[in-house]
Amino acid sequence: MADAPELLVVRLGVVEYRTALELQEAVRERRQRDELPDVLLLVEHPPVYTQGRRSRPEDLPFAPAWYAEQGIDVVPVRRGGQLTYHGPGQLVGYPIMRVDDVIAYLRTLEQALIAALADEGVAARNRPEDGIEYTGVWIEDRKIASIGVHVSHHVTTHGFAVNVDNDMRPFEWAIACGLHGVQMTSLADERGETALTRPGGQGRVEPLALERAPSPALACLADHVVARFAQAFERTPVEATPDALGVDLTVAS
Amino acid sequence: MPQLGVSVVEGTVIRWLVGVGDDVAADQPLCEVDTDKIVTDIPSPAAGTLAELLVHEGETVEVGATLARISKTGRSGSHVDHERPEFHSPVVQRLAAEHGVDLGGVPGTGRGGRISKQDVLAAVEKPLHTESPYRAEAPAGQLSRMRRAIGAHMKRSLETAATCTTWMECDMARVEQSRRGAKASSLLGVTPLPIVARAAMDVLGEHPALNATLEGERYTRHEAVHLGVAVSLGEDGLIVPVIRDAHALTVEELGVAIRELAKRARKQQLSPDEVGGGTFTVTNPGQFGSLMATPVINQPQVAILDLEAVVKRAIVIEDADGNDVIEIRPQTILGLSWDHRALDGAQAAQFLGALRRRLERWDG
Repeated sequence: MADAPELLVVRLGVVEYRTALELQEAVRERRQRDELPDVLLLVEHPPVYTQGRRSRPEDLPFAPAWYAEQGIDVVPVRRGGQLTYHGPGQLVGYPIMRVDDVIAYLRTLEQALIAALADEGVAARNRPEDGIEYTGVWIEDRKIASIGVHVSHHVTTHGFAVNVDNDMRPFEWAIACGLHGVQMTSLADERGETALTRPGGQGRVEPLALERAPSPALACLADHVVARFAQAFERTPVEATPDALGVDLTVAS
Repeated sequence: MPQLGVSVVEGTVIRWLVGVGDDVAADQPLCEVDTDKIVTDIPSPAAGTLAELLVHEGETVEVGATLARISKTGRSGSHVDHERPEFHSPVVQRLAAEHGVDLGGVPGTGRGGRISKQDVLAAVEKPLHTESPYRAEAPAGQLSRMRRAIGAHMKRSLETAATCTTWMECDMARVEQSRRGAKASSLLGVTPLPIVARAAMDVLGEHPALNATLEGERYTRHEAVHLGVAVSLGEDGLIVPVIRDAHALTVEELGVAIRELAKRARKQQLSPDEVGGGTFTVTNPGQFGSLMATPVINQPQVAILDLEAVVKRAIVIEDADGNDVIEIRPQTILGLSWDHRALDGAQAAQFLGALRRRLERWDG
């Protein structure tokens, strides 16, 4: 692996979604010009719904003011997929990589996440035979990681989000009529530790925590993800500070 | 549109990055295409001048469809059209090469006469230059996300619960009489639902086994009744808002609550605590004239009450002297779908029998 190309790994901590989006685009431009090697950005976001190209208004079935009251931002983005949620306690990764075969890239990414979850003692799987809309990582029929990518001039942006111990209720608030087309799960849910993922009693709405203390479980999974990601893509991971990206953006970390 | 992977059959052009008349280099991104999980740009197969865009932004096309035509001769001169070579998608070119098909003789059935993968395959199967019987089928509609969510929820309920449905006839003369009362009519709306809901609240107090949830093997009886009321959103689907502590409400209050929740559901104004945490559900297909519809249990609850249409029937009853007589009476059928994992038919029938007695003696 010593000869494998470098993968710049930058752990940014909590970053506003919109800031991270600008950062990704700046890094992508540098990657397209080969001024940077492949990059993996790891972040957490404050609560936000992101609407992919295929989002429909009904994906957020409640009054817009209600989401604002919960402190959840809503951002339209140029990626595939439908609406998704990010929040504290969820590990978000943005690989900014040069790829030729986007489907092979998706499958390798899934395998890396599956291996990282196996390191955590969780048996996960992907579902290529079920079709492109089942892209992501699943535990039985529960989805633990979502994937959506944008490829421009052969360079990827956007990426993956793994639920670690984030509050899971916003996924329910974003699906029409309280029915669940896909059941979402998290590492904590799978371990039966639901104090953080499902606060409050049945049907009650406790306020959503907008900030949280750093999660040890998330840091642990991040280490596994970096190692398995580098292994799956045959890269040598090099941990770096945001300065190494050489982009002119102030990133709150 | 080039193949992105075996499982990707179509994509939506979301943005053209170049316009007609623009010079493009080979491999220069022409447009962005969205599949369910991927947005990717489509590189130009050749250098030249963009002559024609065949797919509009927002349009969904299948893999193999021609997206644009590029003129290699540039825009000068009057021979552009004549000399303009046609660019086919890589898939079409590959298929044509594999099967030795001359694309010049293949009728294109795609938009703008472009040649699709199917056209090439049809040409392989049929002699060339005959009129192709192939006609593009109307694009299949996609289920809305709400429809898919409802479908998944219903399938899961049927796969999870041991669903049984018990029916009972019920004389609604007293209920109808009450609804016609001047005081109540303005509050109660057009269906007997609020009265039936109120009666069901009383009966659930006597039969607590039905006001319960079953999650895995965890069976929980609930003291309060949080009543789910199925509200049709027309073609858009169905939503089940929940009236919290419905057992504590009067008929009039239930009527107002049902109407308000339905109104707000149709305006997409509900909040999540208004659709979660139900302990029992009532559905009212009778408002549309239904006589019997088997309801699906709203998981993880264990029972759902079904109110059908009230219709006049000639039925046999016993008069005050003990003689059998035929009378015209408003009748309905009460249905209850229940989960045989949580209870048995006797409990379901006892619940419905008690509800029936309460409605037949209704004095509101």
